[in-house]
Amino acid sequence: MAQATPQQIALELERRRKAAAGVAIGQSYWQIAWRRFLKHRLALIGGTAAIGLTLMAVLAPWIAPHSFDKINLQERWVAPTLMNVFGTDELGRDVLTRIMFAGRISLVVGYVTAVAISISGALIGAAAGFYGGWLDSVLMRLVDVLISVPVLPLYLILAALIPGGGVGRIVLIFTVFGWTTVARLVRAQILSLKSADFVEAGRAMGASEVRIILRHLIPNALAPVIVAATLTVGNAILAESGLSFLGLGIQPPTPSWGNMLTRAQEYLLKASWLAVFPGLFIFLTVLSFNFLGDGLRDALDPRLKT
Amino acid sequence: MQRFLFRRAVHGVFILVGLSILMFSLLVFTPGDPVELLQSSNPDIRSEDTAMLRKYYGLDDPLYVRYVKWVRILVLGDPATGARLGYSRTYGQPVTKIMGDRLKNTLWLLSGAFVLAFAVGVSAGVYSALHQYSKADYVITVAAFAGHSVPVFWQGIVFILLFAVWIPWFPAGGMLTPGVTPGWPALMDRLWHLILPVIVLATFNTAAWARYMRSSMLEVIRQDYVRTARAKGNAERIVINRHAMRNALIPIITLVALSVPGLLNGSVLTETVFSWPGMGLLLFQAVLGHDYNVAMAVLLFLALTTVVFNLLADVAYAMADPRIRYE
Amino acid sequence: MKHRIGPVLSMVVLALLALGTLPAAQAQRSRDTVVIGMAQEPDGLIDSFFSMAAGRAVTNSVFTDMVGYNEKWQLIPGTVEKIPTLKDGDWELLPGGKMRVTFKFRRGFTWHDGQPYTALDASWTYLMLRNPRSPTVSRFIIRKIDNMTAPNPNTLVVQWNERYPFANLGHSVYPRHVMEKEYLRDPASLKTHRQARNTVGNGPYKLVEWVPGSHIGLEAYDKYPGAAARIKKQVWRFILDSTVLQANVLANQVDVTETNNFSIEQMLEIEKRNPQQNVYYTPALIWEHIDLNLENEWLKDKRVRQALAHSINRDELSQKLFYGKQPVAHTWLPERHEGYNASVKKYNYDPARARALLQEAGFTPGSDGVLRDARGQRFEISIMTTAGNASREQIQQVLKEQLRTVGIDLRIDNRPASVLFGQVTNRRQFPHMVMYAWLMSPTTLGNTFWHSSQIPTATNNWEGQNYPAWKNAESDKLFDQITTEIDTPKRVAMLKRQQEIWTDELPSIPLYFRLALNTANKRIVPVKPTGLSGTYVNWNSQEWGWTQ
Repeated sequence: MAQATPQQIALELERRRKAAAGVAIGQSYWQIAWRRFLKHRLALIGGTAAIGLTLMAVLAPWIAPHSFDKINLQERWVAPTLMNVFGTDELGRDVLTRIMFAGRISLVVGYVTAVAISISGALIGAAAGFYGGWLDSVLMRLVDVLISVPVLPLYLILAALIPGGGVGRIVLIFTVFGWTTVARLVRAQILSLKSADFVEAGRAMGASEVRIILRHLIPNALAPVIVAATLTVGNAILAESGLSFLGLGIQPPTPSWGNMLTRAQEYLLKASWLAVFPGLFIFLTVLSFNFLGDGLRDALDPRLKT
Repeated sequence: MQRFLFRRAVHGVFILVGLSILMFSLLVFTPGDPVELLQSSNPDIRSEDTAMLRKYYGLDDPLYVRYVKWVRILVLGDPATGARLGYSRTYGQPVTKIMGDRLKNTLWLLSGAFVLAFAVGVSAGVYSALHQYSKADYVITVAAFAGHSVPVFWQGIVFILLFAVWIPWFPAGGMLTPGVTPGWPALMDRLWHLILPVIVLATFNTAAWARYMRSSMLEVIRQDYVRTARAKGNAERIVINRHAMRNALIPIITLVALSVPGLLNGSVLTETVFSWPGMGLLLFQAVLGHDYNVAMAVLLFLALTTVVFNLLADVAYAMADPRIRYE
Repeated sequence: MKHRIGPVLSMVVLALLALGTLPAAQAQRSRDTVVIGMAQEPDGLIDSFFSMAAGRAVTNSVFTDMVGYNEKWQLIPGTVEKIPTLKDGDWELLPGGKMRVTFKFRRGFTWHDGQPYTALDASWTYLMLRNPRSPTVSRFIIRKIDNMTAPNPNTLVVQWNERYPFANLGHSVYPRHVMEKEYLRDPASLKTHRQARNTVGNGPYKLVEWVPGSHIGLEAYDKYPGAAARIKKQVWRFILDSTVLQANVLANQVDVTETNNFSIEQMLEIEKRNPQQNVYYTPALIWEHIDLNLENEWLKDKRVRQALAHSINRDELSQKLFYGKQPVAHTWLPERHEGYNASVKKYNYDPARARALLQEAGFTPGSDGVLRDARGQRFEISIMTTAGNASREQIQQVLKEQLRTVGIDLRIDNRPASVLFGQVTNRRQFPHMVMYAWLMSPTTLGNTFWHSSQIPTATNNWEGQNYPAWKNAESDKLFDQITTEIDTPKRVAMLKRQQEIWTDELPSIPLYFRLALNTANKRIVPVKPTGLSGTYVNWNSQEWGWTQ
């Protein structure tokens, strides 16, 4: 009887694995996931809103009704009207325009942090999971230390320590402390997949380790990372707005949704709209990404469904 | 189990020492000089005066000398008076006294938030699980998402706007009314001031625990022993009470334990909005005002609670799920 | 879940009960109490060791100084019988640039624990403060004094080693019998002495309680010589949030607010909404200005500095951002200061003149509307100030626009206050402009601001406050004389001449003089804010009474 070639064995094992995961033969994993996603109503709403808000931010310089930094001392604290849909602030600037431009800052912080955390966390987690041994121990100890750090107080200190008021500084601070969750997720996935059949088969075929990681392990570990990244966008926006509110994040005059609220309390009697709208946008944005993340989690791996 | 606890305790001590060095160095390197700041408010200070003050506070010593001096104060107490943890440079009071007062205030907030989040979150989660796919379930799920997504400080400001300014039911901040008679009215006054900040602080955790309780409950309901209990003919309620809820609650304990450090660390935002003289605000001012003794004491306390509660969470998890083994 | 309703219902009931009993919990307003609100809690009540304004406000009620100011900025005797003058001979000029000033103490003053208050306390305080190991914040005056003696309990003789023009202001006096023991054991421990919290004073009010985080309670001291305080109790509330403080003022829960706890907008809001409260906008000695770095290649040219002044519309700033209530400054001394010169050169808003001056100085417009200097560099400058300060940030943004119309690109670069005053100003690390305020007093002479020996450098250990690094020989000569000129008219004339030179050279751009903002219930009379830092609204609180 002719021996099946290693390649045929690998293919067969792959097929059986997919069958075990309940995936219909002939359809790729991603197509199935997409179909499941479309059925999730809240996720669709969230996804659409997230896209809409991103578009608003990207197109702000073209679609904004006024200038975001032109001062108009004659029109300070004008209540919302057709001309200024969200009113004006203490220097006569249109609040809607500033919200749109602030959205650029906040969304950039969100997206860049999510990408940075995903990449750094995935690499570290994959290395720890795949190589194991002392590298794994060292990295997991590091994770333990970082998790024990009181986060917001440390953000306060770092923000006071590192000068500047721009996006890079905030993203750096978030990434240095935020990679741990993704690293742990990826490491767990790698550990569980490491001994899977198709990896053995791949090894038997002589594939290099890097190839194994790239072609097999990472795509399978991708699902939880995608979900984590989506949720990170929302969390990063929340954290940035909190820091900016306290005066330690994005510095004025650059508008950020958080720093637009810093003095809103002082003007509650006089101009209550200043307190409402910037925060509303933070809320809606984070909500959209949370819906989206939840939908992605359900779609990409129903075993993780909560 | 004991070996595990011991190892984790040792681990924790190492983490604390390392963190203390890290945080002390960061604080010292934070730019800004508290002594020079005096010049801006007092027109009569000369550089000889600031030089003398710097010497008085030991601000010009090298980093390791200052760190060692601080550790000595931490362990042995202030050289002049024996006060543990030293004196606050800003207030001239022992750190323990200042931190103690502020911690009490923060604990008022935290306990209220905890009780509220637990009561509302758990009940909502259970109800949601029992009536899965109903309209109420949908509403609760969306509300839970909203609770997760709202920025705490904005919620505080909006609440103040709605319930203290437009409809003046509650105070716009602070902890007490001036001149309230002590005893029962003072207690009521305190509770009245607590309501808004507690609701705001509790929101995030209410949402998280509701969702978690729902999923935990759902998982438990599907399990075999619940079906067995039902098949045995017990009333539905007893089934739920005795079996499902108890088992569903266990992983919640882990979550609750993990939430405590988060609440403590994040209280600064709520305290800022409501002018609540708590520990979060104290840390914020101490860091910006370079009051090293206070800042280090609070930071260490926060790190300690984080380590302790992480440990508790792990222990609870291990006890709840006998399948988990820690080597 | 039915069995969950129970706890929820009971919480709701409790809440309703709470709201129901609220009227009983409201404060009882009575004629024998005045509630003063502050947005800060004092650090300690020993003025020489602590620097918060909140502490000095309270000590105004708890201590009576030897000499003080009234609302007209005239000196009034406190615990002394009279103010020493050259004419009366109790202020003597001695050879070698020295002086001797003699104070006669009034009889009858006692410390709140009953011990007599005498000149011996004063002379002891001097020795204590002078000790290099005491945590004294400023020894500026002490260094000018050789010795202080008390030949008898009611006489204090002060030996000065230089001709200080304001030697009749009196000195700090602390209770020797309370602090001496700890002082002798370890002067450094005085900062944590109980006197900072359980303060024993000699003033019309004595401290009865200090509840941290809440309030300080004072009661009228019955053995105060002269008229005892009319309002028996003073309660100082710390309300950290200015919005909450404002709400309390609007609800008449707070009767008086200490100086500068509100923004102008909040004051206007109070004025509009609560007719029972008076609001006071008192011109104060706070000079808001922009220091220019005279070592910068562009700013060392006088014409560029003058052009900058002409490019700023300070009137519009004052009208729009400060509702016309803060007077524009044209020089560095405010109107109420003895040396004020009203007829100095003024730089009105004149962009055309600014452009002409800049052209003279060698600038040409570039293609993007921004000027280029003779070497083709863009005229880009930065302005720094304290981060988080609303009105300063607003001014910066208005300035950015105003300077743009003249062709100057202004970049905003802020720092937290402790960094700004810790490094940026006193190490002169600002490249072009830094905006901040000097707190002055009637005794400010300005030599530390403008004398060329007062430029902080590494070689002189960063001594001095001449941050612009301005050098002018005539101004230096004037200051050398001003600081030791006892004769007031002569001194005033020299100050005026100095300001003529200063406004021509313009090392800083004066913006405006800030106000002291207070509120007080109309029924409390007489409230007379002074506008002096160090003399707070309660300087005459023992005279206050409730009218009907």
